[in-house]
Amino acid sequence: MLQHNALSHRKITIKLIYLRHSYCASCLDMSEMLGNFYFHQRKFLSAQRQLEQSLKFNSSDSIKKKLIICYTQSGLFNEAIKMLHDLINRDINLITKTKIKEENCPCADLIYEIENSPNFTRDDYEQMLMLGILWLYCDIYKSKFYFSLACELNQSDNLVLKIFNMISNCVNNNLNNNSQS
Amino acid sequence: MLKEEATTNEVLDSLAEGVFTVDNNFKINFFNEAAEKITGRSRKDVIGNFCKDIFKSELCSSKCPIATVLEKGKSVFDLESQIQNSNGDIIPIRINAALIRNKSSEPTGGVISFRDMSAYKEIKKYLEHQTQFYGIVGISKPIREIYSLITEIANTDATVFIYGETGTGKEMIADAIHSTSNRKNKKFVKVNCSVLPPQLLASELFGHSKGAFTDAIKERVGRFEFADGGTILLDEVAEMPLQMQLQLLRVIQVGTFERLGESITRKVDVRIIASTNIKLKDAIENGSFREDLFYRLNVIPIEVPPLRCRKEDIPLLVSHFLKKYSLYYKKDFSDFDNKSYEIFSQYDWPGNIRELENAIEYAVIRSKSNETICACNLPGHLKGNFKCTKVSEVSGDVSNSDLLKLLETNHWNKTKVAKELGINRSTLWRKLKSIGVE
Repeated sequence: MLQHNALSHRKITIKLIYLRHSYCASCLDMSEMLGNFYFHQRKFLSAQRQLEQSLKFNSSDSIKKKLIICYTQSGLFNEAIKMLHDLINRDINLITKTKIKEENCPCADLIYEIENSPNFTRDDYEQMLMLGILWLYCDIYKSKFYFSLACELNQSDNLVLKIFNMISNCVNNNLNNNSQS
Repeated sequence: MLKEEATTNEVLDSLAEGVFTVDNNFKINFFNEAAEKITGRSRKDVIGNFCKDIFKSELCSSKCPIATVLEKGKSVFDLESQIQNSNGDIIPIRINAALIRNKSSEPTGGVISFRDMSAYKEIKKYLEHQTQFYGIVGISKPIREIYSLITEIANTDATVFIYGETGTGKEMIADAIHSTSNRKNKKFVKVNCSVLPPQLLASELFGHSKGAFTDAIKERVGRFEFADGGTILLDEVAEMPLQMQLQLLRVIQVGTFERLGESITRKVDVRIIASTNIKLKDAIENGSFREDLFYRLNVIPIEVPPLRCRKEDIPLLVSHFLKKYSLYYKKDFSDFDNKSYEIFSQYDWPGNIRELENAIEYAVIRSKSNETICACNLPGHLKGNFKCTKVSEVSGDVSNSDLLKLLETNHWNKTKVAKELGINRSTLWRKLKSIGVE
């Protein structure tokens, strides 16, 4: 469920920066494990706080994959897109080959809630972006669809466009491989 | 390294407590044999899965013990919860949790040990519901008078002094007084005044400040302070040194005291129950107990009768303890035979109810399930020269586990055990050797 509250994006960022600096160094090594716990409990804001701390000391793909999802839930789309771009630029399979059950990935449930929400509309850029990101963990074709809608709604975001292109290339490669086999 | 790991696994598999570990993603990566037995799940089905998916405890979402350790930085002890086993049955458990750290002190996972509390819960439930008065068993006139008295004083905070021989149930009377009082939801602290040396007793009761004496490395809250708002039981109060009796008198009179090594006066509101098995009149006469303290404590005196003065309660007590230990040892008995009841009623019971309870536990251990317990399975000092006419349940028919329990009960005194079983000491030695026990 989207944990986007009434605060503006900037206020959320300031609040998080404040909270970030209230942690002592000795607590940081607990962060990844605690972040994982909150993530499994679907407490995305708490998970985000812990995982950001642990990322300073451990640049792990597993942490980044979870953080991307957390950012979509707290409305920090710029952060989500940047981190997603960095990951799939290295290897798109890091996201597309997610083992949903084994990794306890919440994307399927989150997607269901958004697509069945009374507020769901294809005219909302942030919703399309969120669905594009979340679907990438589950179904690359649906992800491409939502990213294309997002690009139509906002043609000025180059990073989103780059991601869309990377996804499209991957889809085309898949289709070519399937037709050859 | 592999050999070390194998030895560690063997040790963990020999524990009666379930033990499992999780990685930092909360996936199970070790599951011992006891955990398999309690949960009904094999380790191969469990390893690699999230712990919340296996245990399905209400704690998983609200108060995961490992998350609690991460958040608070302290290990968790004796947390009560329940889990579902593979059949969907709810199992009450008690949990300890801690973090696993690598050589750089970074958390790499968590470890949980848990114990199946089903048997204890069942015994506790039985004990709570199958007794006459808050865990006390008895319908004789003296004991019914005590029930009435406890009921009458329920709404007061009056100091109570409980007298009685050892093993008569003074502590149970104190429990009943607290359970019926207005302070039943507050702390009930029990202190045995006879087990600690005088200086430690003072520290135990009143606390101490850091450096108050050689081993006082940090300050300590005493039992009176800890029990503030609640009740304190001073067991064997007559054993208290005279100096301490004076401090106790002050607490009773004005409710104030100082911690050892401190000059700050502290005030507490504690209801005091005292108990003793000593004849206080003699103690006052010989100067070992203060008369003024006696009068302060003796507001509501309760004299608990010895078992020999309430023999009409013996059948009820026998039934109660038989049920308790049958549950505990997972055996099933209908009753004791008539000869046993004859012995119970004729014996004087110097150790009172505690001695009766021990005798019944002994008989339950020695007897085979689904039988009436024979008098020959009673302890030797009870059955005397009685010889069983039944085909022997002793010696050769005693199972290895029962034999080991008998040895434990008798502190491994083989002479005593051999005598109980009616066999030669050398026969016992041979039997023990045959089962690999020296």
